[in-house]
Amino acid sequence: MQNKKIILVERQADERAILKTILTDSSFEVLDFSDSMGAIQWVMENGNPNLLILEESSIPLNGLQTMDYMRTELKKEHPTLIALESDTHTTARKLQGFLKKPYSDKTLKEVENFLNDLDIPNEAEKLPKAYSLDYLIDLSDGNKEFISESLALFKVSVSEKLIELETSIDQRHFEEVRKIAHSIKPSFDMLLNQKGKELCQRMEHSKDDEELSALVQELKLEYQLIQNQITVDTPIEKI
Amino acid sequence: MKKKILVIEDNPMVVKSLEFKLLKEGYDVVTAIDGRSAMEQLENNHFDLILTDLMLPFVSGNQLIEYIKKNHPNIPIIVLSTATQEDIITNAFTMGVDDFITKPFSPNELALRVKRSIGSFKNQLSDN
Repeated sequence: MQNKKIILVERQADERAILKTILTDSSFEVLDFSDSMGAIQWVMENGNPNLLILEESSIPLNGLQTMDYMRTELKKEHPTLIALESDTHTTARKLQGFLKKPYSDKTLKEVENFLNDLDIPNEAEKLPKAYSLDYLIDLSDGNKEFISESLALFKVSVSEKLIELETSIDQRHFEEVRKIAHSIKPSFDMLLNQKGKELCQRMEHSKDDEELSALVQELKLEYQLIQNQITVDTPIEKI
Repeated sequence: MKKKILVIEDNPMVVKSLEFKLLKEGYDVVTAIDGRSAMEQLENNHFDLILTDLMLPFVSGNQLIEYIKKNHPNIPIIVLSTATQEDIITNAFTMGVDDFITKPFSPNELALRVKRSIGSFKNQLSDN
């Protein structure tokens, strides 16, 4: 029987190693990440783990934000345990389950009990469609060359702009970030990707400079999601 | 003779789409990715219509419209906007632009608005 797969997000290398050892010794397969983007990327590319253990204060998205992203954007209802600091209160929090740090053998018992109480689906869910060619088909009356060139333009031009966005964030040129977001918004819109369009819109109009960095990271993920889907679909062959 | 349109836009996917659709509709299309190169094009060519974004590198939309209205007052201007730019669009109208199209544009709406702004419906029929 295949080992159950657990994704672990924990910033602290020593804490991560402790929990990984505890879980691996008990026949779990553990994929560990120091930040939440690595975990999201893994799920986007590889499918469903049996359990997510997300440190409450993970970065750049914290544990709850990561769980929310998986559920609302990737449509993934993974069983999720949030790892809380020992002094964190859990009342009034909408958690499916939680662990308290520091990790120990008691943590293993908590993980096993949590999984035993769940009815975990075995079938891998399909990723939701990240884009649509409907607009480009309508515009060009299904011209394959035009659609193919447009997708290539999306890949190259948005990738360049994402690099410019990160550079502008590093240099704290926030007005430039807003201008770039305005400029690339139609690219997501033309592939009927609502999430990317809304992220660009939020960046364009956000008055909170500090929020922009997380939005750029989310946009990068959305771009990657679209590119992955395009690669899987090789859509031009199917028009 | 084909009518010539200057498209001023920095998003390459939008440029490609506009170019594709307008060429198919029988227009000549020249593109500029910023205000500076648009001004150069305007000095060296005759245009029957300008389609322009308002947030461009180097030269702001307002500066560009002012320049066009001062130096080429007879060329109709259609602004390419996004749905969240109401104030900017209103301001552009007070500066004398003729119409606006929301990005990403509806192909049929683009064709109709361009035809209307150029006022070339009869000419196109006789050209064809």
